[in-house]
Amino acid sequence: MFLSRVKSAVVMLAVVVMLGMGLAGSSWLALAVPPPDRTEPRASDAGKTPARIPADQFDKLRALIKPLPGGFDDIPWMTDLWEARKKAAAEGKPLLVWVGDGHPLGWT
Amino acid sequence: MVKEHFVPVALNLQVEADRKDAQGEFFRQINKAPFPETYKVPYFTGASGRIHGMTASGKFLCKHTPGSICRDCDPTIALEGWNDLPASQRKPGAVQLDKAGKIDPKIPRPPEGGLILQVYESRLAGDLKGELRRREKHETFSWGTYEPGRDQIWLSQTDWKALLPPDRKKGARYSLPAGVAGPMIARLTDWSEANGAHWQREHVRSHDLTLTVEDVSATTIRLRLEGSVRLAHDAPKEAVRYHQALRPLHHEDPRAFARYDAQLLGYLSYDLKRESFTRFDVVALGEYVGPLLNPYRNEDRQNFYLIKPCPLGVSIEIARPGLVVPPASCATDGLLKK
Repeated sequence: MFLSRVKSAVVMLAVVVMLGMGLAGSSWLALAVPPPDRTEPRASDAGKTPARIPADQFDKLRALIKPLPGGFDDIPWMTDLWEARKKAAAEGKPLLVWVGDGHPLGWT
Repeated sequence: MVKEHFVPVALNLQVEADRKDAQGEFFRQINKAPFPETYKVPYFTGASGRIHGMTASGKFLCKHTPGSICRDCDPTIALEGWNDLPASQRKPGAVQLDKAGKIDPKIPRPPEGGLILQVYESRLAGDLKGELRRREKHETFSWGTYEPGRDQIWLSQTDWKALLPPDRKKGARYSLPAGVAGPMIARLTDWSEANGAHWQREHVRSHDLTLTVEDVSATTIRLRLEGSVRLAHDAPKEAVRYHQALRPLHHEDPRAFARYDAQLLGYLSYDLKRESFTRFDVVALGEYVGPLLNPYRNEDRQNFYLIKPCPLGVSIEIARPGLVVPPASCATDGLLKK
């Protein structure tokens, strides 16, 4: 009688432990699966894929993208104040200093 | 006039005002004075930038600029101020500068022996399958004339040398090395008047960029770069609401997301005697959707600011000597590296 109760208790304990492991395993598995927050763009969402750029349009396209001639890019801006001061002092010229909150010639 | 009479220099206020070295000390010293006196603001301040004439010793040449709405210093007035100085202060060598001293190590410097590339980004008008044109003045989001975005790519010597063909035979094809493809792909965005889409490694849905040896002579290797890149942020899980005031400018797709599908074409020349690239001209063209002001959501987490789909062109070329501007996307230069 006592032994059968012990056996029953052991079996119950084993079931509880296995169930617990199983639940724990489920949780672990759930964490291992990447959360579904990365949605691959659907084909219909994708932008129009352009045709290959024709070689004979290369120069024209570059000219469209780049700044227009005659703008501030044509001025030979230096980008180091100390070097510019040295040059100005050596050549006897004033500085023209352009300061932006973000680099005027780059990402701003 | 500027080229002839001035030494022009362009600077980033955020860098110059904070750098911990002699140049930073000098800049902070000269920028204490207000301009003009009644405005009580420093000479150099504000997001739109300021231009001033100045001597090498730090004396400003404009005390006021009549009629200037931007409070900048008109170069003609600066030149008058310069010519009013005694000749002894203007002659070459009149100003003696100390050595620059140790440069603040936080200031980004191009890699030794590296290759600096200049990037321009322009949203174009027209149709990708038809005629494309430059944007008109009124086709901007602001009051000014449309200007391309600008950025740079700093390639290390190791990265640009990896561009050379393993097999120097005409017609040989090989993949664009990751050390070059990564920084290039990161720059396929729009900084022209918008906060460009930030591309991380997971946003590169596909890319196929190859180099082909077009010609090999005793002096030159000529290469052609071509291929495509497909970039996309994750689609939003919820429908998007647009800022009411900006609605007419924006894409009406409630599930829009940043993306760029681009074709690339480029021509590179390597001088075997000088052991350097003498040409690195690349263009990218494709349909782009990207954030305008904020990367997707603002503080209330309700409003998206997306530019409606449009053609975006990106041009890359060797920067002119002396043009050194820290790249915007240093952190994403390892885009294709693990």
